[in-house]
Amino acid sequence: MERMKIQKSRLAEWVSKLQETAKVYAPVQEGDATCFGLLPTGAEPIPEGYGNTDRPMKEVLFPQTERIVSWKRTPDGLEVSEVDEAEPTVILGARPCDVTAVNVLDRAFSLGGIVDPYYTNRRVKTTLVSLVCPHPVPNCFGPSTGVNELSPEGADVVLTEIDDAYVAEIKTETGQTAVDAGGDAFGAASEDDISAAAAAGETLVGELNEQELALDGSDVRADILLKSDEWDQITQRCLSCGICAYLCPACHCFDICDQPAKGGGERVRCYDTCSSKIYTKQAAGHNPRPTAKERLTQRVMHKFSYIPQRMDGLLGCVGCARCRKCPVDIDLQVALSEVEVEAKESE
Amino acid sequence: MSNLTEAARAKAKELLESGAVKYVIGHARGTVPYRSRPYFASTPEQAENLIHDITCAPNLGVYVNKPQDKVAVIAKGCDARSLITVASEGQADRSDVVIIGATCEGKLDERRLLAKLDFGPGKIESISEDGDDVVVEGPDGAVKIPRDEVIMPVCTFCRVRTPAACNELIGDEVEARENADAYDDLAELEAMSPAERTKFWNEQLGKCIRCYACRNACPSCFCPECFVDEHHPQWALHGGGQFGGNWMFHTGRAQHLAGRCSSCGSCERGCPVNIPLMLLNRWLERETNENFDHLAGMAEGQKQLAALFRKDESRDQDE
Repeated sequence: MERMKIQKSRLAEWVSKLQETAKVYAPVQEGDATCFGLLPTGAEPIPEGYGNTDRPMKEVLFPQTERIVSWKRTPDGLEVSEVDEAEPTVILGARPCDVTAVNVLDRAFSLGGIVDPYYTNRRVKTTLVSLVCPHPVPNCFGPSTGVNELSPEGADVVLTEIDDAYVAEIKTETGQTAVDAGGDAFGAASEDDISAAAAAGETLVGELNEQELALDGSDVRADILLKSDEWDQITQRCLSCGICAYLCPACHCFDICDQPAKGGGERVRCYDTCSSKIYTKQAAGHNPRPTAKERLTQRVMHKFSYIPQRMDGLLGCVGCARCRKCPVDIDLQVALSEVEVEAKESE
Repeated sequence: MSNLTEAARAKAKELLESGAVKYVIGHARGTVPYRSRPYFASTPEQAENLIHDITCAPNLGVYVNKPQDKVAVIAKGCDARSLITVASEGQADRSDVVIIGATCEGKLDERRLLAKLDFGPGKIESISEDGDDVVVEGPDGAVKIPRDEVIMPVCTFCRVRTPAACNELIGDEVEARENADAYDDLAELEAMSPAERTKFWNEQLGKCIRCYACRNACPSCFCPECFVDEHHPQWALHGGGQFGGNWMFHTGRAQHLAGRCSSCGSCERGCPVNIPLMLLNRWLERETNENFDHLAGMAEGQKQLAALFRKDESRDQDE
């Protein structure tokens, strides 16, 4: 497809055009953490020095908490309000890892033909504008997990930074519509622009290769993990909190709670995590995953084995390295390498 | 290799060789030079992997919960306070836990450190200490930063730089900080009007993603079922800020910790969205310290605050 180009100075103009018909989400500062938030009118869309957000982009499509139904008692009976209609949305500046993770979410929320209306309502009205990283964020291992860092699967438009402009690759019709909305803010990219974008891509890939660690998902096997002393050591220190799952752009487990209130109530869906010890606790008290070892094994197996089996090879990990916020230094990728080394040594 | 590392290894080796303990809980080098990780050494060979330096921030008390065997813990002053507290609350038999107290001049705060550097975390080659400075080896050589600018804020008013109570001590004794009882860190919050304070906490708690890292990193949070995990009744609905359960969780948790918190800062350190949780805990510490002269885990055999009653104790603070 044809490549277009937009000057950085005209990005805000494009955004305000988009805002006429859609909500635009972009990286914003919330307190001292960054996340994808509703971009205020007239705000600078891509902050200076933007690497990646602290919290993942999935929050826009799959918020941490959402009201799925609420009810109220009235003199005429029970009044039930259903899901709100989703509004057209543009997500601007999502990094290729976060965009790739949307493929996992898309599949997860429609597995077996059962379509999740809450996620899907938002998803079908969303345009994903991805932004290629100028340099890798620390510890990124996207390519090891199959992320196309230069043109991620699932993006509608991909922007690559060149000096004072972005070269836009339009990947879908939805993307074309979004770019068309920009009017003359976009112009055709010249041969020089396209080769500059390609050069920026090459630089990035070169830098990423330096960060790449060996990781072959097919080697991740529960029997190896459960026998490994190294895995014992790793899981023994796990605190069973939810940081890794809640910050993961591909994790998608949720719980549903009813909250009664005076004269009515609401049903809320919120994130849940397999690291939590009550995740598998049964009503009678038995817990099939009683310790962090079983729970973390499940987490790793799900990401690197079960998801790929069920989703045609897609991994449940996109290498964004947000799980490195772990307070006890459990770095999934390093952990797996350590187990692998141990398995090889003991052969 | 720092002398604390050497001492920790030697002590651990001795205890493991003699069979006095089943394993020693300490720290090992993490995935990067500015991180350590909790480590469980069960053989004298594994004791060689132990380290003890400025990066050893996690409170290891969290791993001592009804131990089946005798264990030893390489404990900073705050870890030792936590261990004594949980033992006094029946979570461990004090005689099953050997506390190897390690003196401490403050532990590294990763966020504060990275904010001070003009190069990325991937370029940090090593971290060491030199007098009152932290030395970071980076791409252009060594960078010296005053220690107090990069350690966890809670360490800058530490009262147990030398553990208050332990079985053995490693490291040279360090004086407690003189400002330990000043509670200067609370001044800003205290100056706010109730409305401003509500706004402040609404913003801070609104960020909470309910990952429970604060709770799970805390040795004093040992309930088999936390009140927020209960389904009947549901005290604090799961999920983030917009539904109000965050206030219930954080204020409920803080009150449960009144007089039981060792001011280790592990909750605040673990928080992935930077909620200043130590403001809540320090506020309650001041209440128990000033009103009841009680600080958790400062002496062997110390009773819990809730089990204390003195005849001269004021029943009404306004009297």
